[in-house]
Amino acid sequence: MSDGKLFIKSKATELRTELDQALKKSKPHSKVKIVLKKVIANIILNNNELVPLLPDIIKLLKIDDYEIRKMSSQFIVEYGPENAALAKEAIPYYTRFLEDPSPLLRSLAIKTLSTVKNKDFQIISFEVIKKLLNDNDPEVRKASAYCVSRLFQNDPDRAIRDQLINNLNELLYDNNQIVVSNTLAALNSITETNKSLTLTIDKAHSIALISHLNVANEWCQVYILNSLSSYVPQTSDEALELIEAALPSLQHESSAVVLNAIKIIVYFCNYVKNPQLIIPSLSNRLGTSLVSLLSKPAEIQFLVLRNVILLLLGRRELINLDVEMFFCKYDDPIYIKDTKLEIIYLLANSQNIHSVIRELEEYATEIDVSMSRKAIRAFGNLSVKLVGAAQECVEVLCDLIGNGIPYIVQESAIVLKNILRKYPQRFDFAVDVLLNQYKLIDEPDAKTSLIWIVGQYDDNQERSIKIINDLSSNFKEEPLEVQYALLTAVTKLYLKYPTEGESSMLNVLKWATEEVDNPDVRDRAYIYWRLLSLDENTSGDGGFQEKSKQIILNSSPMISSDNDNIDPKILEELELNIGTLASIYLKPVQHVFRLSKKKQLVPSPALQPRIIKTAEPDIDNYNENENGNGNGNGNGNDNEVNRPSKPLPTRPNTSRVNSSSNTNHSHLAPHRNASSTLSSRSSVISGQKSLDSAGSSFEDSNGKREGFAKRLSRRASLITNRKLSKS
Amino acid sequence: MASQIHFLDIKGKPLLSRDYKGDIPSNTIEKFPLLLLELEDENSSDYKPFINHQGINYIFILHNNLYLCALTKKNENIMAIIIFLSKLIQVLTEYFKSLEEESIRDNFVIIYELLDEMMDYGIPQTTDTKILKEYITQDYYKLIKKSQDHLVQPPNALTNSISWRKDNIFYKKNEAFLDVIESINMLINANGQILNSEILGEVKIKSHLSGMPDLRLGLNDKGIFTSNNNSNPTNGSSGSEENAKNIELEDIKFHQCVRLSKFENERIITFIPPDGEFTLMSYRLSSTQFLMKPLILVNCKTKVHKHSRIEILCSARAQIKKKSTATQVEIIIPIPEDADTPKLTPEYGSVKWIPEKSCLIWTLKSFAGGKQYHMRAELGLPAVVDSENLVSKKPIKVKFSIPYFTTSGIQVRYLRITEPKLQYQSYPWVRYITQSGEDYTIRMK
Repeated sequence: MSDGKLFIKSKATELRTELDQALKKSKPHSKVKIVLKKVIANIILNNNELVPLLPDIIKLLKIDDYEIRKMSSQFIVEYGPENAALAKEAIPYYTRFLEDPSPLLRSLAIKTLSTVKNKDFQIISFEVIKKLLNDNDPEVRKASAYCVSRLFQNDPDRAIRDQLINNLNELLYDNNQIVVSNTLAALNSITETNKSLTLTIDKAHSIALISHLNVANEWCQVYILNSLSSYVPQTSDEALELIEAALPSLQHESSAVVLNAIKIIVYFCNYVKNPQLIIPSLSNRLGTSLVSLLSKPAEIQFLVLRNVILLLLGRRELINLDVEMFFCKYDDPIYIKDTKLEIIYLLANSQNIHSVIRELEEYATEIDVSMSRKAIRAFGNLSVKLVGAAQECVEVLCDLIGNGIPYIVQESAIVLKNILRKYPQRFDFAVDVLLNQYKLIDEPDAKTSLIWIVGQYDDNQERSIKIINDLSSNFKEEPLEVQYALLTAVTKLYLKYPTEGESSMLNVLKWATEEVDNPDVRDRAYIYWRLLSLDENTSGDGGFQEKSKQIILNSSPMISSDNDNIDPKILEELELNIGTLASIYLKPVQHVFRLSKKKQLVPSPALQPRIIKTAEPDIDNYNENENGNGNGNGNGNDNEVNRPSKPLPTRPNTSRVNSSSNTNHSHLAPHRNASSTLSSRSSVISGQKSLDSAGSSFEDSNGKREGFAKRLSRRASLITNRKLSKS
Repeated sequence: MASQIHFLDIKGKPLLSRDYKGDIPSNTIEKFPLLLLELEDENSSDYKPFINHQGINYIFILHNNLYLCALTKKNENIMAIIIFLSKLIQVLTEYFKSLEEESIRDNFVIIYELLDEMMDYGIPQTTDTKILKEYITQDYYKLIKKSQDHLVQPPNALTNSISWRKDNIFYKKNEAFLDVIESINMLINANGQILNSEILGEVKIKSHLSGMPDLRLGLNDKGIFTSNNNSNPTNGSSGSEENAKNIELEDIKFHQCVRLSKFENERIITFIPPDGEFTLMSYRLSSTQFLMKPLILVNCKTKVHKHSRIEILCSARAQIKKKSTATQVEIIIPIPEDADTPKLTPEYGSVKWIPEKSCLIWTLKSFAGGKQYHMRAELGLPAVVDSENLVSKKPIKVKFSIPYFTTSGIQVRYLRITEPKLQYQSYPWVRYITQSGEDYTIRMK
């Protein structure tokens, strides 16, 4: 029988007549139920006109039929709060049900009473709940446990005053395991919201709970496993015992049980020194049980993958994973592919780098543009992360650029900028390959990178000047960041090739100062102009533009992939939240859930200090590599492998490297107001940004800045509109 | 855990909702369609099954033309929620055969009631269809009419220590059917090298047994189940025994009825089965030891003559034992979307052109081990073509099944059935099959 035809919006009066007619029959049950089904349909349709039906529905509670009573109760729960005076009439029925021999009816009664938020319903609930918590039927005890959390949600003060929490605590020793685990879940929902209450369990109890794991259904297992994190082991042996007790749950068919078991095992591992050495199979088992969850639907996979990232960041030694398992499948949704790519990046090391690179190459030539771009970005990050991989990555990139597909070339340009910066001079052949394809580049980001590369690294005078001339021909229409990059690049070229570079430098500076409306661009152009026309530079002692070269042609600070490790404190908290929402957002818990309680490891004699893996300065690795004739597979590399690093950001390093292309002028920012009165609100903000992002370069040139600033402000008023003396 | 559960249509319009906690305003879900649009509007790469909007978290699964969405404000155990949603789909599918937008309307009463039983205060209670069916039936009132007894009891299974089986089951003939099914997933590159491969195995049981039987399953498990001992793999159809790494069959997942601690300590699989069909265990093997080469190797060469035609030359070889035969082999070859007028000449089997999916399907009803067959196809291409997109990188997919054969070599030694009270005679039956998994793919050049 289909109920579809009952699914219609009805008026209260219609339903009332139907109900009256039904009640006239000698056996009204089936007719009444049909009317009630229509009523339910209207609850679902959110029809608020049915409130006047309350007295009629309450009368139905008289009929001795569980289903009718249940549906009527649903109505009362939904519409009772709309009219407290009418709803009140239902209370005597429910108090009678509480004494009924049928446990189903007793739980229905207490559920309904505690759910309706009307004052009189709540008062009654508080009066009777204690008795029901001690009911002789486990079903009723279980339902009552949840009623306590409901009452607590509505009136926490009264719930504490009435010592309902204590009653729940007693229920933890119930002889029925289903009651116990549900009570744990109920208590958990209470302690999560209340700052002053915490769930603590002692050792004997936690062992007892674990013994329930065997017989409990999957959900109860989840609640039991979760509650175990409230126990703080006092010795390592205890923790080990609990780990071993939780291990079998890794084999449960329900993914929820498995992930919660992993969570609890990782938690107890904090209280054991080198657990992976004491239980040698541990990291294999954690790894394989994670991988086996990957054959589930995409939503579950995604969750698992996010948690894999979390574990890789902080608990690398506890999970053993093969990078091949994370290779993307053709049909994977994009968000899965993204996450897998991050994991591939994190798992890449000197042993598997070869197959990783082959795989990434496959993605890079894929038809899906965004995937291809992400793969190329991964190349960039890998070559910065693994010194030994750089050569191979760059070779693949060169191949890809050689194919001349525009979006690949553009993305590669962005990526190459990072690589060149990390390994200056080493990959000059890549510069040639890229510059051959420069005509394909039209996106601002890629253009900026290309211009920076030309200014910084291209040694071919003729080509550099041709490219810069080409790209600057449209200077006025370019976006802001390209204009900045061009300003810097023409200045660099002028300093490198005074005669050949002069005309393009003059053109660009002229456009920037005279025709561009943006005060920031204009200011920056003025700064260069003034710098180049300084007396010290033009007066002839020392070489050509000695001072400008010092400032502009300096080498940029080193970059590394590990600048922004996640704070261990945050990682620690995230690990305590494996499998929760925070684990998929991978953000500090309080950022997403402002009201949530802060979780941290409770100290105990067994608590192991967290090994904070500090990243050795990358420069060392690099030098070692340079001097050691590129033995990239040596020790330096292994350090890299073990180091936690940031998950592949969507546009990694670009912000950092953008700042590098700004490096040479950012130190001018604070003086802008001295030379320009036009700075608008927005430009102040953008100026601030470039200041922040270029913090490192700021320190570099700190010494020079002082004197420079003084001179600058002295001259500022004089030369606001002066042309370069040379012109 | 979850504050509200919603069923929504494909556009995100609510169909049926249930509020468990009352801590989120009931109109919150009305924002869902907008959020969905936003997700799809922006880059498709931003789509994720989780949204956080103004402090409310939307957790959703798409099933057919339905969204199932749970709302919560707190940092909840999301794994439990998402598993609950997928179990909900499973339960409803078992109730109504298929779950779609239409079935929500047709069964709103029972869904409303089920939601009430499956969660209390937003916390999942039971998601076992067999148990739910005992007291939530479509013709509920008929049941009660028959027995005038107004004292309705909750099924004992709900609070019983064995929650998955009710008492007093009786069969005239006591039988248990075991199916050992291994699905092979494999990713092969264009040169025929295996990039990754795995065996996903399942032992399914259909139990027609009376009373409360206690079962013990014996497998040829020496070495298979002990990963960290120094035992070596027992057999393996084509494996090399020298491989130092042991078989990683640690990855076994058991049905909740299996006593996990007993397995952990003694490596014995014992259980009281639920009635009817269920999956007793599933396992995953990284199959490097068993599969040195693809079971079905497909080699496909395409030659594109721009603006006129595309030639495809495909060969398939069954690299399995001579005695075995693969059946229902389907080789799905992607072709350019705008290809037409196929000329198909298989040496054996039949080839079909499916233009809607832009692929050719080469079907071989039976494919004996060691044999190799060729297929040649030629399709016309339109004169005006976007040259870049001509050859997409869509991989070739292969489907097949090989009866009487398991790749890992796993075998059922015995299934001991004891029912202490009834002591009946019982008959276990076993069947083996190896088949292609979801992803048996070969990349194209």
